[in-house]
Amino acid sequence: MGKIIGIDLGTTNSAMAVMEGGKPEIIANSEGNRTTPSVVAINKNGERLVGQIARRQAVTNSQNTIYEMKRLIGRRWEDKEVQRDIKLMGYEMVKSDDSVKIKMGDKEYSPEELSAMVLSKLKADAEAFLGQPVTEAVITTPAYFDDAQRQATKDAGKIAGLEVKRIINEPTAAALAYGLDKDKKDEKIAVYDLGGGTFDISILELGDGVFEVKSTNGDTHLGGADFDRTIVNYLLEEFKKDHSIDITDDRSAIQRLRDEAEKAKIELSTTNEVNINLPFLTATADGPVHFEIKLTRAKLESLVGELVNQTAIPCEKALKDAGVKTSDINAVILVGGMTRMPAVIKKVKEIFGKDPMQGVNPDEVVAIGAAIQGGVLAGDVKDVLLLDVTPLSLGIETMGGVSTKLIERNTTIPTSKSEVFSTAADNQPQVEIHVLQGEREMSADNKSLGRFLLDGIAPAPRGIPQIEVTFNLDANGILNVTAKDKGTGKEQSITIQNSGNLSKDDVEKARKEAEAHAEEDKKKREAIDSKNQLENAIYQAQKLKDDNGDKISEDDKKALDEAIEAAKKELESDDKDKLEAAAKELTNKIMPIGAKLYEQSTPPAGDDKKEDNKEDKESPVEGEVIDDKKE
Amino acid sequence: MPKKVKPIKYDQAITELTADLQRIQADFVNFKTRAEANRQRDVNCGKEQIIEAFLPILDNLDRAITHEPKDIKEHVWVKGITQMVKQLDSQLESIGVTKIGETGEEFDPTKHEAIAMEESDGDTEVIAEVLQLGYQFGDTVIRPAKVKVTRK
Repeated sequence: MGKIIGIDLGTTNSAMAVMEGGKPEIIANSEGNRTTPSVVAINKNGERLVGQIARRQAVTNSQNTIYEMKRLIGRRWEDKEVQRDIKLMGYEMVKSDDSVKIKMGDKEYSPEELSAMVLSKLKADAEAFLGQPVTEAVITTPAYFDDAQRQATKDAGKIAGLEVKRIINEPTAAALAYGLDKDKKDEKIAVYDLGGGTFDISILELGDGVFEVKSTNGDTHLGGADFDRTIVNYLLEEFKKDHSIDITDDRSAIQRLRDEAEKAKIELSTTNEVNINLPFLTATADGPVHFEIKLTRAKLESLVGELVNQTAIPCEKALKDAGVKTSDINAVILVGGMTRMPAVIKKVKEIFGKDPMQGVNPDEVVAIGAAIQGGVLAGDVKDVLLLDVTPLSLGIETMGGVSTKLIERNTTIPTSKSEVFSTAADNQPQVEIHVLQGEREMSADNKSLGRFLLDGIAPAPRGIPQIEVTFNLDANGILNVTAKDKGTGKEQSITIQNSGNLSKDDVEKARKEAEAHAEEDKKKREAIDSKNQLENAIYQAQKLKDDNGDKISEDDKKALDEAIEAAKKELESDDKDKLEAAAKELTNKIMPIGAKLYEQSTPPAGDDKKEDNKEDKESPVEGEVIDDKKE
Repeated sequence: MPKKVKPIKYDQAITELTADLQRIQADFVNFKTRAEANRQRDVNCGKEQIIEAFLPILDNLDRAITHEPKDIKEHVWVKGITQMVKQLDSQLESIGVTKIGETGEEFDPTKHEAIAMEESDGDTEVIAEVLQLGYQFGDTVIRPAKVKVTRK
């Protein structure tokens, strides 16, 4: 019952993802990156290098560094694409029967063998990530790939030790990632894919949850690299204008311009202006030369406008071939890092007259779609596994009419939660559990789901009994609330059938109400918390006096009485600050008296411990369960 | 006789549900293991990101020191600044950030990115010139050194 991973085997970069807990997740490679360059090499020592490392040593070993083998996979030597690439690629290609072989080191490899090397690395990294063997995969190919190219891609998987459960089209994977297959109606979808080195446009038709590719078009040599080059050329010219120096041959300077151009391109997707700041870019006999230039989004767009416009014609052709009008297109999906550029998004909108869908990372959307397909094949994706959440918070009413939440809204169910509460008065014989639903701070503002009594609590000072309240919410939204007196073991419970039975509008209304009253509720809640605190201080003061009647001097007794009386008057107030001040004042007055008691008699260790215990039990007091018969 | 139930259906449902439960359980155990590993990695990742954000400034300080003007070389202020940059370097080292890339060092694509190649005779690929220093934090390469490579 292994995992089926989804692989986007790209021309320049590859990515992979897997379904986990019913959701797709991108798998980072061993270097910690979410994409892996589709580059392989053999170095002088005969070691095979794959990915980032292979790319980094490319210029030192250009004849044995193979890239963009996707352009060759499953093709025949005679194909005009192959004939063109022979001139473009930095490595040597040879004819082998009808097909293409590539020289690397002292051996010849087929494109599928080279692709398999990339897949092997992805497989190994996925195994390390998942902690289990990976033997099955879904791999994507461009929609225009013919049977031979698809078969070759499948073979590449086999060589890498992967059983390719399915080959799916890249645009289809993108549509799956956006969940478009779940739409009930028939739709026409345009997938606009502008990657590092290629541009593809596909028109899909969805019917009965099945995607059909109606047409494809594109430009096999148009992508992000062209955009970067245009920006670098502009910077070079500007530098020349400013300083009359040509740095075209200064490798270090060019590299810095390239890095900066890429950074500026990315930044200008979110800001309107960047400062390119390159101190000590180069040096002349007169000393170092700095370069500083402001690049606006408008300027960038005018520079690359021509490249962006080049994508329009293939789109129009694809629409025509599919026999659909732009008004027929129901959804437009963006794929490839370049589609983050606002000018590209604008162009897409202009072409299709519709805002493209966004939300899934365009570099990862294809791998994610492949993983979803893998999940469906493995049986990972099933409706029964879709977990629900509780739409509103659930809790109980505590002292002062406060709603204390046990299960917060949006918690995934099934779930359970317990908390220990206590009594609000001395010798309180019973507690009432009032179950509430809603986001408001005060219980009166929330919906009452039910209430029950737990009685037979052994006589004890307030705050001492421990009442454990447990909420158990099952997958169907049925809520079971149990209250248990830990002292006597007595328990009582209630089952509420329809805790989750709310319409969307009800939930939205409750949420909005809570938001609107948040400030006022918070004030009310704080006032009650302060009142509870003051009440507790009064209780402590009274207890001190009652327990130690014979040890306290008459003067102190009088002072205590007065302080308690003064504090009781303040209880009427609803002002948080006044209540807090009163509690503080009372505590200040008790402290010296308490201190005197300790000085009078060095209490035996046992007594000491008893006192400590009482202090400990203090903690649950704040959440005391209300008592109707409170004094 | 009581009505016959259809045991086959139940069996199938039990098998399916057990499989689903196992799957979820496995997902969860794996997730937990990885979450712990990720937590540690994320802590480091946060540090790496901060270090990375300061690299352009470190680069430029290095360049400034390299381009020290000869005429004011002996000026005390210049000397002070040079000392300050040294202090920065040792401070970085003390928190585990080290520089990568030295001329003459053997080329290693796990730490170096070759920007250019100077053809010459020899068997070993070595760094001919460091165009931009690399940095590593502990064992992690935050940025590879950008280098010109030659053979020796």
